[in-house]
Amino acid sequence: MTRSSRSGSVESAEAHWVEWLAGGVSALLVAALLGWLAWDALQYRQDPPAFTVDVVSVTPESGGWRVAFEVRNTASTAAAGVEVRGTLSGGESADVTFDYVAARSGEKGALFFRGDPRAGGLALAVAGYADP
Amino acid sequence: MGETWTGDDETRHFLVGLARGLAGALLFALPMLMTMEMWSLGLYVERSRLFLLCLLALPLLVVLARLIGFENVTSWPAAVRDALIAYGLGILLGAAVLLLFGILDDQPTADTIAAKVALQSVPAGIGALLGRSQLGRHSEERDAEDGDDGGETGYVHELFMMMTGALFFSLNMAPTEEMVLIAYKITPFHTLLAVIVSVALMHGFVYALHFRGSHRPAEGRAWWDPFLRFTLPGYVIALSVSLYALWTFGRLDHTGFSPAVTAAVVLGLPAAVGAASARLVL
Repeated sequence: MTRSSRSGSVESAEAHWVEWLAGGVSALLVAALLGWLAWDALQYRQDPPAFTVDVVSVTPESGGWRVAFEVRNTASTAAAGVEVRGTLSGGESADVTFDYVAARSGEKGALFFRGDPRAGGLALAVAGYADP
Repeated sequence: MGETWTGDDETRHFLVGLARGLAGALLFALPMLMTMEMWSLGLYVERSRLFLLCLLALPLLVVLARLIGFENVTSWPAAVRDALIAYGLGILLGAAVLLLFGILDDQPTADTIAAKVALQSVPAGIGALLGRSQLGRHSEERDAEDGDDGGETGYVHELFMMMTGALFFSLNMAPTEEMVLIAYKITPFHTLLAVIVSVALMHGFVYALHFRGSHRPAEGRAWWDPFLRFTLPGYVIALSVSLYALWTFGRLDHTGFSPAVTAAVVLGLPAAVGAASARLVL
């Protein structure tokens, strides 16, 4: 309990057990957070972003094909302006840029092609990125 | 305010209250009304999350009205009435300002207009309620009351105030791109430091700096007593609220656990300051 007056508030001496319970649980949670962050900090390497691009699905659209994919950043640093480019063996290409791909996270997107990507020769790769 | 208000006086009193509410909504919501991300969020924010936010705002406003209500709100029906007025003022003000700036002309479908206004109505509603109570605090009517201001403030009351302060700051900042950008730029060492700084700031705001309304632990109590009972629960509340705000605005979608924690800690810093200052101000 807290007693308020014009000059400020003085907390009363005897605290309800619920207050200690809340305090104890909160202390555990904050300790867990600090522990996780410390572990994360120990694991942390200043490694450059590394990407894998996986095709999720290829579906026919009116007048072409939609290639849905997921780009994952496997490193512990985030990347900005990640450009994913897809090419077909016929020379057709399409690209899309993601604002951010966070560390150890994935983003989903899709590219459109006129030619049939299932005919083979579909290649998806990250063309480049910028540091955030 | 023991006297009864009749006729013209009552009307005038009510209108002054409305004007204070509008002023408060304007004061607190203008930064968000003029934030670009808040407009575009109206286009893509997940509707179920927006609905949840607008729904949760109701009990929040009612309890807030009950605790700090302007017109010496002594009953729950009065608190509900005040909360609804504040929410309504928030919606009206949000719509009016967005209309004034031509934001509603962008994609004029009923769906996006409603979403854009709904997003603004929650902070504007909180602002309207705070405006009615806080701006009225120094008026002649309130002065007489200050004498019996020395009531005891319950523990849950304090935690609720911290949540309100944290929510207000989180809603202001979570929509901006800067929150995720900072989270992406910093290393885990910075994040660790940000946690410690946040907790220290929270404790310092309330106990060390002698602002008006600052708190003193009871005589003979160690520093860690209020730290454990108030500051740490307050920080957990601030972090939870910032997680909730980030989730509502879709800032945690597609991110792994570690970047999500980092973003919550980054937003948790202003949320912690908001929570601590709410204990002082409200």
